[in-house]
Amino acid sequence: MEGEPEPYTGISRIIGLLKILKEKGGASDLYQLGVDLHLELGEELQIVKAAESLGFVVTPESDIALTPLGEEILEKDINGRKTLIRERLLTLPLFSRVFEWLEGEEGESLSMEELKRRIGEAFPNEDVDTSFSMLVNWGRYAELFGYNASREELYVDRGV
Amino acid sequence: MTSSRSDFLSLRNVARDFTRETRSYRAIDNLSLEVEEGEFVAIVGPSGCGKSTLLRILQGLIPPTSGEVSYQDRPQEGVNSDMAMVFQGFALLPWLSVRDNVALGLVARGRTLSEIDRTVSFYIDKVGLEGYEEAYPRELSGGMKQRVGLARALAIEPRILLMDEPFSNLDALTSVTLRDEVLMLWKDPEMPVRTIIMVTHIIEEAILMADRVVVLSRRPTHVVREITVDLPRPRSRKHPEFERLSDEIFSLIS
Ligand SMILES: Nc1ncnc2c1ncn2[C@@H]1O[C@H](COP(=O)(O)OP(=O)(O)OP(=O)(O)O)[C@@H](O)[C@H]1O
Ligand SMILES: [Mg+2]
Repeated sequence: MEGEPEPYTGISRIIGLLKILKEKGGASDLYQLGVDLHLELGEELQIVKAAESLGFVVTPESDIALTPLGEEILEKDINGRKTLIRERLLTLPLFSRVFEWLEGEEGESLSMEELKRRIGEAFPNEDVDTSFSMLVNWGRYAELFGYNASREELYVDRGV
Repeated sequence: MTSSRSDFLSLRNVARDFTRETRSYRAIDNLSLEVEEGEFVAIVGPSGCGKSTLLRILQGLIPPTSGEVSYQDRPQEGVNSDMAMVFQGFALLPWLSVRDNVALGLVARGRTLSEIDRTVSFYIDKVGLEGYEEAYPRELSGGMKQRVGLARALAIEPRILLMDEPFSNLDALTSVTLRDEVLMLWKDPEMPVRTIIMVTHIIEEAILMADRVVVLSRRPTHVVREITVDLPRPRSRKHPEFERLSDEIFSLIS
């Protein structure tokens, strides 16, 4: 497999999960799904939690089921998926807060260091490094945020 | 198979020898294959049988020891510039940004800067890499790296896309998504690429994606069977015919 385990779940894996669920008729037993996908429970739950946070699945009891939004993203083309994720990200407190912070800055950018400090204060229950990786990776996917690794700066992606 | 000879792309009685420690041995023997324009062909075969070698011969990177490769009804000589390859290991240059990695093939072909710029932007958008332009490979997940590999291959606007186990270095869920996206791109009328030849060792992947599965033997390899996959897309593993095809191919390979 490629690379070291990532602390966040990539969007491609989430969409893969939705697609597998769709093939299973839209719902599955969580445990059985993990067995079918050869995923450890911890890893499976991380992916499921990420999909749930974006509103693509629900997990009543020990089951997992696609939501209409989860069905919808599968119907979209590559860029349609990005647009939908962007809308979803802006409903998440972490992403909408960071978006506001960046918009408030001249140049609409902040250093990683400053952002991590603010995230630690505003979201004391979240792991700061994981949150930051998610901001960069989901943010880039959705063309919401850009990140310049050499300057260690996150900025609002205005598509220029 | 019909006897009518494809005038798009064909291999006729191709053999290829390699030497190892002064001893010569045959990797490919008496292999014939025809590909129609617009087809998605999957090639499966036992590990080490000569699949990658076959792709290299198709692209003209190495010549066959005997037999002939013909393209558009002419013997193919040298590298076929209508083909581009997507590699299992992504083959990205770590010191170049996503954008510059995608541009590589165009730079090598001596295109003008403005043309490179326009084309690169177009394909970055198509494969869903907008937003990643200034990222470096080390910042990307495997799935994103392979999208870069795909964009780089597509950017030279090949008529034929060759893929050598393109999803083997990805986790199972990411592969599901990328297969889906490759099929979308193949069906996208804005893509010049019409024909895809993909090597895979995953039988399920071949049946999920291809119009036709070409099954190769052990070394020295040749075609043991060609299986047309007539299932409607998007395909489901749950389809009864899926399992039958899968068993058929499995029994040929093992
Ligand atoms: N440049 C080379 N020099 C010598 N032998 C080679 C060379 N390239 C390939 N071979 C040999 O030819 C045979 C086929 O190799 P090839 O890589 O094409 O197989 P493959 O089916 O792609 O294998 P895998 O399943 O591992 O991807 C192997 O025995 C390999 O060692
Ligand atoms: Mg190979």
